[in-house]
Amino acid sequence: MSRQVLLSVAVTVGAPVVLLSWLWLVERLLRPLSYRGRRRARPWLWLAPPLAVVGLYLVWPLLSTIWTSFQVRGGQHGLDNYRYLVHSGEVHDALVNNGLWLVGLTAGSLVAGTAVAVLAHLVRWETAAKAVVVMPAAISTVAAAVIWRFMFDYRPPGVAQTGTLNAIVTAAGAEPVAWLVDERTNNAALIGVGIWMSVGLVTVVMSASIKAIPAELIDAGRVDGAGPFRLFRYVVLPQLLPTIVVVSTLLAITALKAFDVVYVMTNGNYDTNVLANLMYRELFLNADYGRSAALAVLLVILVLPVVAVNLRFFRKGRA
Amino acid sequence: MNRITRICAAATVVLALSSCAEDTTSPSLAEQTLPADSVEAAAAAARRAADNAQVGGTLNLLGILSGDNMTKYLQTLRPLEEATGITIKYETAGDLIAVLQTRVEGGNPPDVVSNPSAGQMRDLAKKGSLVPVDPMLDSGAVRENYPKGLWDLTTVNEKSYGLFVNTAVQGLVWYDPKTYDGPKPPASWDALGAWAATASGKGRAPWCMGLESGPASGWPGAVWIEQFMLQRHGGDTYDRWWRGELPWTSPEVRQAFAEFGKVATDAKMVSGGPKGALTTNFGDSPKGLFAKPPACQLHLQADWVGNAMAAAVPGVKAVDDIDFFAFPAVNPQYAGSLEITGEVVGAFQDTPQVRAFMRYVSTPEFSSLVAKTGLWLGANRKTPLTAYASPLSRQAADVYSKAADVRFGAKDAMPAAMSQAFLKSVMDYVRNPGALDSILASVERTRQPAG
Repeated sequence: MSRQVLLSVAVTVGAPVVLLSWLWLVERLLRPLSYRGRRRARPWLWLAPPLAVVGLYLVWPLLSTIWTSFQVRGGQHGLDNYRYLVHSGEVHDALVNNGLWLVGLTAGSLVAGTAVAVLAHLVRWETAAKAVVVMPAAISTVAAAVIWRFMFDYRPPGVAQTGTLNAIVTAAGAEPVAWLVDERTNNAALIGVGIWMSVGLVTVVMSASIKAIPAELIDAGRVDGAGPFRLFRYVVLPQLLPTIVVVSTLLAITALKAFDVVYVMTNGNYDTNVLANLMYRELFLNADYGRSAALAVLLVILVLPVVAVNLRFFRKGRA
Repeated sequence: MNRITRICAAATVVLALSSCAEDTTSPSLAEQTLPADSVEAAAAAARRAADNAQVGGTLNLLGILSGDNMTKYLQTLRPLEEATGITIKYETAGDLIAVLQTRVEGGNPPDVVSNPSAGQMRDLAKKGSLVPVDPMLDSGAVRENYPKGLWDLTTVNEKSYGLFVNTAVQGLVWYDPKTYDGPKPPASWDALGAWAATASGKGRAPWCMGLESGPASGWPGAVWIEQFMLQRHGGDTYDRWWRGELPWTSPEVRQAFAEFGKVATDAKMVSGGPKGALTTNFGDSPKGLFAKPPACQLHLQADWVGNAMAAAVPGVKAVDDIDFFAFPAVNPQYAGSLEITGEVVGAFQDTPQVRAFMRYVSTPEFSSLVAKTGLWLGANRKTPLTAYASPLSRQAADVYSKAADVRFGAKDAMPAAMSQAFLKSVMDYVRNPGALDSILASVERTRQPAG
C-alpha cells in the first residue's frame, strides 16, 4: 500500500520534472544553432516525448498486427490469411453487411440528428425535445442491445406477443415478424439500434453548430425573400458542412467497427455477421491470431479513406 | 490494437450479460442449505485431503456459473474452505472459452478452471498450459471411481489433466403427466414418431423447442443431433465424429441433421414452427408444456430442467407435473446409449491449495454433496443413489448408472472453434433446411482433429 502511494507521488512529481528537464536540455542543445535552425528543430524536439509515447502505444501495435497477419497457423509466414480474406464467403458476407452499416448508420443518424437539431431549434421546449433523443447515448451498447431484443421479441402467430413491435404489428391485424431472424428485416433492425444509439451525439454536435450560425446571415436571407426551405438549403446547410463532415467521419468509423449490437442480438447468425465479429471469433475462440490480425488490417484499410477525406477537407478549409 | 482493446472491453460487458442465460433456477433452490451430516462428512474428507494441515491462502477459480447455480456450487466447496482455511475466489465468465483463452495467452491464468468444454481443456493440455492432476491424487483408487470415457477426454500423453466435478444427463424427453397422452416410455423412436405424427395430424404440435441462447444459440439443437448420431450410428461413430475423423458431409452426419430437421423444421411438429424454435430462449421453451392450452407435450432437455421448471413455474411440482423418459432407442443395436455433459476442473499450477482442492473434489463425499444440490449428478461413481435428495435427480442418476453406453457431449468435446461452427450450422439449418448440403460443406471446411 505504502509502496503504491510512494509510486504515485513519484510519478506525479517525477513526470513534470523529467519533461521540464527535457525542455531545458533541448534549449541548451539548440543554443549553438542559427535562429532558423532553432526554429526548425524546436517543434520536433518539443514534440518528441509525446510522439514517442504515441509510437509505443499506437504505431508499434499497428506494425506488429500487420506482421502477425502474415503468420499462418502452424508457425510459418505467408499470404494464407489474405487468401482467406479474398476467397472466404463469410468475409464477403460480412463486408456486405458492414457496407449496409456504413450507409445505413451514417445516413440514418445524420439525417435524423440534423432534423432533430434544426426542428428543436425552432420550438420553445428545445432542451426537453433534445434530451429525449440524446438519452440513449448514455446507455451502454450492450444494455441497449438487450433492451431492443425485448422490443424485437417474436412469438408465433396466435400467441400473445411480448415484443413491443410485434404487439403493434399484430394489433394492426398483420402477422408477427421475426425481426432478427428474417433476412429482409434483421440487418435493418440491428442498424436501427445503432442509429438509436448514435443519433443523440449527432443532435448535440449539430445543434451547437446551428447556434453558431450568425443571426445576420439568416436575417439577410429572409430580407432577400428566401422561404424556410431555401433558407435551410442555401444558408444553413453550407454553414453546417464542416460539422457534417466531422460527424460523418465519426459515424462511418462507428459503422465499420460495429460489434456489440450484432454480438449480443444475433451473434452474426442469419446473415448479419460483421467483420469485427469475425475478428472476435478468430481471436478468442479459434485462437488464430494471424487470421484475426488480417481482419484487423482489413478494417484499418477500410477506415483509411474516411480519415483521408476528413484530413483533406480540413487542410482545404485552413488554406 | 486500439480496436482490439475496445472489443475486449465490449466482450467483458457481454460476459456479465450472457451469464444471465445460465441462470435458470429460482431463488428457492439456493436458499435451501445442504444437510448437516453430508456437510460434516465432506469436511472430514477435506481434512484428509489436506493431511489435516491448515493450508490457508487463496485459490482463484474461474467458472461459468452465476446466480443460484454458483451459490449451490460454492456450497459444495465450503467444507474445504472451513477445514483447511483456504479462501476460494470464484470468478464468473459467461463467455468462458474466450476469457480463459485470453488469460492463458496473457500469462494470467486462474489457479483452477471449472470448464464445461473438455475440448478446450485438451487443447490447453496439449499446449502445456495445464499441470497434470495424477501426481496430486491417489490415482489408482481415484481412477476406478470415474467412467473410463471421462478419463480419456482429459488424458493427453498418458497424463490426466482434469477431473469431472459434476455431470448432467442430456437428451431426456420431458412431459407433463397430466396432459401427455403418448407412450411412456415409448418402445422406440419410431413408436414415439408414430404417436407424434398422429398428434400433429390433429393440429397439435407435439414438440416444444427453444434454440436461442445468446452467443451460444443452437446448443439445444446440437443435443438433438448428438442423440441421433449416438443412437443411430453408435458410440464409435459418434466418437470419430467429434474427434474430427468423420467428415461433416458423411451420410451419418447428414442423416442425423435430417432426423433432427424432421422435428425442428416442420411447422406441424414443433410449436411455433421453425421460426418459433429459433427465436425462443431455451429457458422459456419448456414452459410451453404448462401453457393453457399446452403448446406442446414433449420437450428434449437435460436432467436439470425438471427441478428448474418446478422452481420457475407456479403450481408445477416435480414428478406430478413434470417427468421424463430417456431418449428412446433409435437403432435397437445401440439401445441404452446415453450422452452426458459436465464441468471438468483443471489446474494451471501446482500449489498446496490446488493440491488440496483436487484431492477434495475427487472424494465420494464431495460428489455426494454435489448430488444433494438437486442441480447436478455427482461424477464420482461411488456417489450413492440415496445421496440424491430430489426424486427427478435420483431418476436421472438411475438412468445414468444403468446406461449401456455413456458418451460425452460432442459439442463440448470438440475443439472450441469446431463447436462454434457446429452451433452456427444448427441455426442455419433450421432457418434454411434446403441448404443442408452446403451448410455441412461449410462446417467441413473448419473440421480439425481433436487429437
